[in-house]
Parts: sequence; structure tokens; C-alpha cells
Amino acid sequence: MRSSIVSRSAHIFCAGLLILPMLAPLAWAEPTQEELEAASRLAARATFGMSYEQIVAMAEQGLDEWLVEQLDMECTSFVDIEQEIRDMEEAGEYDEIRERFDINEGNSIWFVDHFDIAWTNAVLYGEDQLCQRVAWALSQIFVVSRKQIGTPPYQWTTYYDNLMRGAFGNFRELLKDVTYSAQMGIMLSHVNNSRPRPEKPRYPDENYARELMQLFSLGLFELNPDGTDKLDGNGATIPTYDSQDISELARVMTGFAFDGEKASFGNDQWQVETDAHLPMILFKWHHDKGRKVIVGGTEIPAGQEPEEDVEQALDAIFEHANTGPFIVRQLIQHLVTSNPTSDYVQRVAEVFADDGNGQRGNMKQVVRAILTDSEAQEPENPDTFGKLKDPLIRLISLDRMFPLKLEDPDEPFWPGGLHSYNFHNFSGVEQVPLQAPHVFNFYSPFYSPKGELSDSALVAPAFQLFDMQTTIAASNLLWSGQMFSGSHWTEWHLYYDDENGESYPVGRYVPDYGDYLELADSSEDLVERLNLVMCYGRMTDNARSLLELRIRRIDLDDYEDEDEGRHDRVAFAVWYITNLPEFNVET
Amino acid sequence: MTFNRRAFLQTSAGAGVLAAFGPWWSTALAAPKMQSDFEDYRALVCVLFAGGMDSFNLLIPYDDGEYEQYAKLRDDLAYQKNPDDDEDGLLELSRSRTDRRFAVPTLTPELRDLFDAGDLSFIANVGPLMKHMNREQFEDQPHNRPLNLESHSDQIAQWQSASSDLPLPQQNVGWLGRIGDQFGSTLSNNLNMNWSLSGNNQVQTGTSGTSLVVVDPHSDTGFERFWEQQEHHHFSEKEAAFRDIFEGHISPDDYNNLLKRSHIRKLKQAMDDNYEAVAASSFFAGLEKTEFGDDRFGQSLKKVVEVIGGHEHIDAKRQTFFVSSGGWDHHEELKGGFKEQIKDVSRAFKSFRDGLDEIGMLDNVVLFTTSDFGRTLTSNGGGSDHGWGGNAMALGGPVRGERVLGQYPDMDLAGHQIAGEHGADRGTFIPTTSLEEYFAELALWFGLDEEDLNKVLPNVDTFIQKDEGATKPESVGIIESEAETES
Repeated sequence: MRSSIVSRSAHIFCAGLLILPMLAPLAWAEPTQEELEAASRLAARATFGMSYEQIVAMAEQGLDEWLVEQLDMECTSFVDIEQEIRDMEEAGEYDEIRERFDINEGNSIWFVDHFDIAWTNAVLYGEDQLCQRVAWALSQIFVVSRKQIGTPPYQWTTYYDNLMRGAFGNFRELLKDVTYSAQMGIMLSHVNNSRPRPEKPRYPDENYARELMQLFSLGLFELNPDGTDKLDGNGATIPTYDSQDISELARVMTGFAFDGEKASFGNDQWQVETDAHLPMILFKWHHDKGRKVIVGGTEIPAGQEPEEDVEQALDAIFEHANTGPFIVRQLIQHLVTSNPTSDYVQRVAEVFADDGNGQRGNMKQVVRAILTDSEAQEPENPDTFGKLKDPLIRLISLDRMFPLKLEDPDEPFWPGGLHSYNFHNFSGVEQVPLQAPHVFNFYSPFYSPKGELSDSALVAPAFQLFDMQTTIAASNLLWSGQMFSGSHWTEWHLYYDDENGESYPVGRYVPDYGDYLELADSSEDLVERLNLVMCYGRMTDNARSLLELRIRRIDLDDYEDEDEGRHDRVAFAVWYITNLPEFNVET
Repeated sequence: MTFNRRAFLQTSAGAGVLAAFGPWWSTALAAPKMQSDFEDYRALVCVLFAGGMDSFNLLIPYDDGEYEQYAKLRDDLAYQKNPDDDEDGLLELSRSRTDRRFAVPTLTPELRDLFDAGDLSFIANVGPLMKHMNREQFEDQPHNRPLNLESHSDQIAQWQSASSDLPLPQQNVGWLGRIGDQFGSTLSNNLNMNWSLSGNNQVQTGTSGTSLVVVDPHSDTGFERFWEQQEHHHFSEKEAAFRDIFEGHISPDDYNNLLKRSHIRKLKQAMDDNYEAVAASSFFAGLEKTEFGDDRFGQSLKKVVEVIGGHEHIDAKRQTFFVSSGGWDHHEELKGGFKEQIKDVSRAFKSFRDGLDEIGMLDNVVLFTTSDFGRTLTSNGGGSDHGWGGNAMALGGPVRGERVLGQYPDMDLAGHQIAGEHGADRGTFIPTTSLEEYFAELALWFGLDEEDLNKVLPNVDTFIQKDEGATKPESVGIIESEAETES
């Protein structure tokens, strides 16, 4: 029984989930060091991390070709993964684990949200890395939070699929998908939002209307096409909308309810009677049918079908002059640099406005424009260019640079090669997918840390998560992961929680240092390789020589088995670099 | 006993490890000495109800006519005078020092008790203002409104900075941080005077530094955990790696890129702060009698009391604390989650008061509350939306208790303090007490000189009645005068 599970290990999910082995390097196209560094740099922006072999393959393929291939790729469906998990459960694939941990019939063996399993596997093994990086960015703009809403299964995979479709789709469609999604309906409380009854007095909930404009499309101030604030005759900024505009849009956003077998307005029994996988539907009786005048003076006539009202409102928001620069600037911040020049924003915003074929909001072309812009290649001012890595990417990119392997193939582990990060063990990192503290995300795009950065009027959003607690927490976690050969590491990846919340590791995944062990005899060779993979060759001479010194102090003669010593050298060197600005700040 | 870094190093269990950092310790900064100018100890505790607390459902008018207006406006959200369910009921507050009748929810008996005992007062309808204004001025002078009213991110920043005219990227310091800049935020033993129980925050950030974030050093996120990993035989290498950063072998000056420079500077700062926090944690006072709930908010206030109890050991004369409680954005659940949360707040405030009493510091501490904004009076069915003015609380021995200070608004949507047309629909009040007026009094009690008020509250001059020759805003009356204390 056990061996049959093992044999199913890695390839069952080839279809959409697992990376196929890269082609062997072609002898006639050996990339230069410069090409390798450029590939590694693009990997930092456009993927969740790449191994040396993948970087070499990307350089051989050529960055433009790689980008074309990525943009043509079909994006992973999280709902499909969830379904495959269910199918495997039903087919008895998990019976052995069920038996081993005495899990009753009828209880799921997964003690994490299916979303966590889907996310872990998609990000670690999915080929569609760029699509997922863009979706991860979108998840930090169109924020729904499991932390804020609570624990019942709200079908988060469905929500994330909206973002996956939006990543390479059209922004107008994304606005619609998000507006109708049951998860956003719960998050910003426009589900079961009723038309006004001033005689009571009772008014529509303004939550979604406000954040749709403030966070998802327009922003607070009118913008020039290059993303800078428009100013009035007195040099003052101009508000994009006022309280009355919010009230009017809130009236549009009335009548939404969960769909499903027993769909009815006000029914919040989403687990039994309605289905949060389905987009919300609109109930005419509870929708405000009156005339509305929304932002920019767009008139929505009285007496229309509710769906027409919503379409016209979303059209007005989509077409608003702010939407391009406002969204584009944030996408650049997530993918390339915290402080894009106004020219950079303008160039990409022009692509948002018109992809060359007259289409507005073509996200695929927007993403391409962001990554291929001249400013992304050769920044005008290198001293203010770049961004701090997301703390979550800082952690898990290591699992793609140094892919995980099962330490002992005889240990039982989840069938299908599926496993999940145990996000509970990411304590202090403060960044878990779909778990922002509120709709304002983990950090603000406008955050400017006091000091040298604020003095230069620069923002650095991810620094909002960088305090005396999170920095040390991440270092501790990484030290455990790299140096203890998986004893703590294991708990991140594969775990089983019993009813008392006790964790049991099931199988042990460890970083596979492979060829690095051969490099470890020479501190210079080892650092050079890690410098390429982790810092795309940007380590300072000072940091390199300090690290080489530290590596040499791990004396291979102290080990009975020299390979253990080589392992410790590699693991230590990786951890050392995770503390350096060269790794943490992408420039 | 006075806290001394070297003595700590020699006596603590961690001395072996810490002593290895000899060269680093010796580079410790010399500290300004402004703190030592004070003879007594005083602490300000800033509580933030993040999300925008519906404080018109915490302090409720109780005179018959006013209550009926309240109940009509709030519809399904209203607490009841004669409830079917006790959870919906009201407790009347002492009337001995108010000329109107007020109540708090039955769920918060501790708040009623604290109020009646003279330890707590409310400050009514307070919020950010550029200048005092009525409805007519609000409509005619949009440029005199605080920037981006009703926006969470902007209003929560303005409540922390009292700078209601700055957009977000420029909102990076707070008024407690600015006090730190005036006093010298560093205590004589290199500890920061501003301590946060809730992570990085704006209110305690000044030009001279941010706050010390109090963490459990033995948790996964703590620095002790770092040292506890030393069982591994390459621990010495981990230590050495951090020494490369501590001792400046890798320093901001190695980099031209400003983000890289900030990264390494902040990492080193985090390490320094962790050392300080670990060192200081051994001097927290234990509480023997007072019990706190095990909710996060209660436990945070407990830690504040413990730190205050140990202030002599760290040579502190002036300290500020920051405690945040989240989840107050009740667009729904105003009759659900809100009730649980105010119960926790009520219990925690009582324990906080009792804890301070137990360590003999009740007369040295003022706790004050802040939030993003008040909320709309009218309902959206189960919840309320973003408003402007709201009701705050002040708690502690120095507080003139048993009062509703400022001007509690009339529940009349045609009134002259209603914020425009939209405010008339939704029930949104223009604040009648500005943040500057609220905070100035606290800052002066804390020891700030009157002439330095505008360095801490940049727009405070707007609220000074110049023609009366005064140098400070009209007193809201939060702090007891010495005459009152004696009587």
C-alpha cells in the first residue's frame, strides 16, 4: 500500500502543477555571465524564485522568449486543484494516513484550508510563475482576508481564481468578477445590502463603494496620466470623489445576495443553503431603482435592471482617467520598484489605456510593458530604484532556489506529492496569502519609513512589515530551515494537527543542495554561485569576502563525513545571504 | 536599584553569550538627559481602536427626549432602555457632575463603575479639524476640511499625528514621537521612552526614532530564541554572521542604494532593540492581586502595568505606551462582534486601573483612547458607516473623572454640527473638540512646556484664543488641577 502511494508521488499533477525537468543546456548556446545575471534578476521579479538550472535554461532560451512563453501560458486553476484533492480523498488515496492518525470517516484529513494546499503547490511547482506573481500582487490590491472574515470555508480558491484570470485577462472583467464575488461580498459587506429606506432611517452600506474607488481603481486624488497628483490653481490636490459620490455608488451596490439552491436576499447560510463558489446574484426588489449620479458625473438612469446599473458604474470606474495610472503604479511597485519614475508610469499607463489594438485594460500587455520597460532594465537613478522583497517571498523563494526533497522516501507523506505550508509556523512574519489584517493590505503603497527614505520623499511599502519583531522572526525561521536540516523546516511543510492543536510532522522535506555540495570545497566558488542565484551578482566585494571567511571557518576536517560539513557550509552561506540587503532589496 | 547595562551583563544568565559582543556594547550611544530633569514618573498610554469605533453606541444619551431621538436614528442598532434581552440594555452613569443624563451598555459595567468612581471621563465628539467649523462653514470651505475625511488610512494617520493637512506619504511621525524628540526619546540607559505593545506605529515615531516593540523574547519571534538555537554546533557562525552586521563590518555605507542602506540600518536597529528589550524585561514588576482577561488587549494592558512597575530599574521618568485593538470597522455585526469587543475593553480598563493601584502608580498614569473616526448614526442594516467626530475616553488617577467633557452633540440631523448634506442623511458630526485641544492638555500634564506645544501639535495655534492672551488652547478639562486634587 505504502509503495503504491510513493510511486504516485511527483508526477500525477504534471498537467498543471509540476515543473517538467528543464531541457539540458544546449552546448552551442552557453550564456554569458551577464545573461545569467539578467535572467536571475528577471526571476526575482517575475517568479517565486528559480534554481540555478532554471536560471541557466531561461538565459539560454532568451528573456524575451521566456516572457512570451509565460504570457501565453494557461494560468493554474485553484478550484481544479481543490477538486482533485476531493477526488483523491474519495478514491481512498488518503486511507493510510487516515488510519495512521485515527481520523474518523467523514472528517477531512486536511486540517488546513484547501486554499493553502492549492497555493503552496501552485507556487512551488506551477509552471505559470508570472501569472501567479501577478495574481499575488492583485491579491494585495483586491484584498479579501481570511483573518478578518473568520474560519468557515468560504471557497477561497474561487476568489483566487478571479485574480488568476485577471492577471492575464482584462481589468474590466476583473472589476466585475471581484464585485460579484461572494468572498468580497462578505469582506466589504455588500452582500445582502439593501436599498435605502430614509423613513426608518436606513441607508445602503458604503463599505464596498468606498474601497472600490479608494483602493481598487481611482485613489483619493485626481492623477495626471503619469501618476503624479493633479493640482488646482492654488497648488492643492483635487479629491477624486466626495461623500455624496460614495453614497450614490453604494445605492448601485444594493440587492446582492449569495447564489445557490436556496438563494434568497438576506440568506447568509452560505455553507448549507447557498454556494460561495458562485458569483453573487442581484435581487431586484432590494436594489435601489432610482436615478444615481456617480463619480465623474456619470448618470445612471432610474428604472434599469440592477445588473445594468452595476455594469454602467463599473464602466465609469474602468474608464476614469485615474484607473490606469493608479493601478499601474501599484503593479510596478509589486513587481519592479517602489518609486517608479513618472515617465515609467506614463508609458505603462498608456498601454493600459490602449494595448495597440484599441483595447483598454489588457493586463497581459500591461505586465509585459512593466517588465520590459527601459526603466526596469536600466534605471535612471539606481540609488533610489528597487524594492524590499515581500517577507513571504523572502522565505519561500528559497524552496524554489533549492528545491525540496523528501528526506526519507519510506516515511508516509501526502499522496500526489501534495503538501502544504503550515502558515501557523510563520509566526512573526506577518504575511500569509489572503490573510492581511484588513482591506488595506499588509502594507500601504504610500508607506514612507521615517529616516533617509522619508527625507528623500521616497516610499518603501514592504518596510511597513520590517520591525524589530519580524526581522528577527524571519532570521530565526530561516536559520531553523537551513541549518537544522529540516527539523523545524518540516513543520512548515507537512503537518497534521490533532483536535488539541498538537502538530505532528508527516514526512520530512529538506532543501536539496545538490550540486552546491560539490562547490562547497571552495568558498569562492560557492559564494559566486549563490551570488548569482540569490542576488543576481550584486553582492558587494566586502560582503563576499566576509562570507567566504565565515565559510572557511566551517572546517571540513571537523566532520566524520565531509559531505555533512559541505552541507553545513552551503546551508550557512544561504542563511547568511538572506540577511543581506543584496538579497532583500531587489534593484 | 538602577538598571545598568554592564551589571546586567555580568549577572544575567545570558552573560556568556552577550559578553562575546564586547566591542559592540562599547559603541553604545551617549544618551540625552532631558528625562532626568523630571522628579516624578508619568506615563501616557495611547489606546487605538483601529477601524473606527462606533462610540455613539458606547456613550449614549439617556434623557428621555434625547434617548428617543437616539433610538429613532439608530433604528436596529439602538440599545434599549427597557430591553427584552439584558445584552441590549443600558446602565445610567452617575449624574453628580453632568447636567445631561448618559448611559453605557449593560455589557460594560466596569466602565460605569470607573466613571462613577471618578477614574474615567468621556471626551465627546472629538476628531481632526483644521479649524472649528459649523455646517455652513463646512459646506462653504472645503479647503478647511481635514484631508480625505472618512478614509481609514488617512484618518487613522491624522489621529496619530494631529496633522490633518498632510497626505499619507508625509504621515510618518506622530505626536508622542514628537514629544520624544523634545525630551530626547532615549533614556539614560539607552532604552527608548516609547514602548509599543502592538508593533510599529506612527504615533510614537519621531524624528529621533521609533518605538521599542515589546515582544516575548522567548517566542519564535524573539531574540532569546535566536540564542536558544545555540545547541547547534555552528551556532558560533550564526553569532559571527550577526556580528558582521552589529559591528559594522557590513554597514549602510557599503551601499549607495537608499533602500539597501535603510535595510541594513533597520536590521541593525532591530538587533539593538531586541537586546534592550530582553535586558529590560527582567525588571518588569509582577502583579499579585490584579487579574486580567486572557484576550490580547487585556494582556497588552497587563504588560504595560508590569513595565510601569519596573520603571525605576530602567531609570525612566517619562514613558509612553501604545496598545492597539483591531476589528472596530463595524459595517455589520454592530450587535454581534462589537458587543464582545466592548466587554473586553471594559474588563481590561478595570483591571488596568486596579493593576496601577496595586503597584501604587494610579496617580502617575493617564490612558487615553483614539480611533479612525466616529461612525454614522444611521444604520445600514446591522452596522454603520464611516463618520467623523466620535467619543473618546481618558482613564487614570490624574483624570477629572465622572464627566462627559466637550460637547455631546444633539441627536438632531438638522443641527449646525452636522457635516453637510451627506452627514444629514447618515448622521455624521463635525467634531466640536479638536485633536489639538484633546492632546494639548495631555502633553502639558506630561511635562511639555507651553511654548513647545506647536512643535508637538503643529496646528495648535489655530485653536489658541489669542485675543485673551492665552498661550494654550482652551482646556477641555481632562486633567485635575492641583487645587482639585487637594480638595
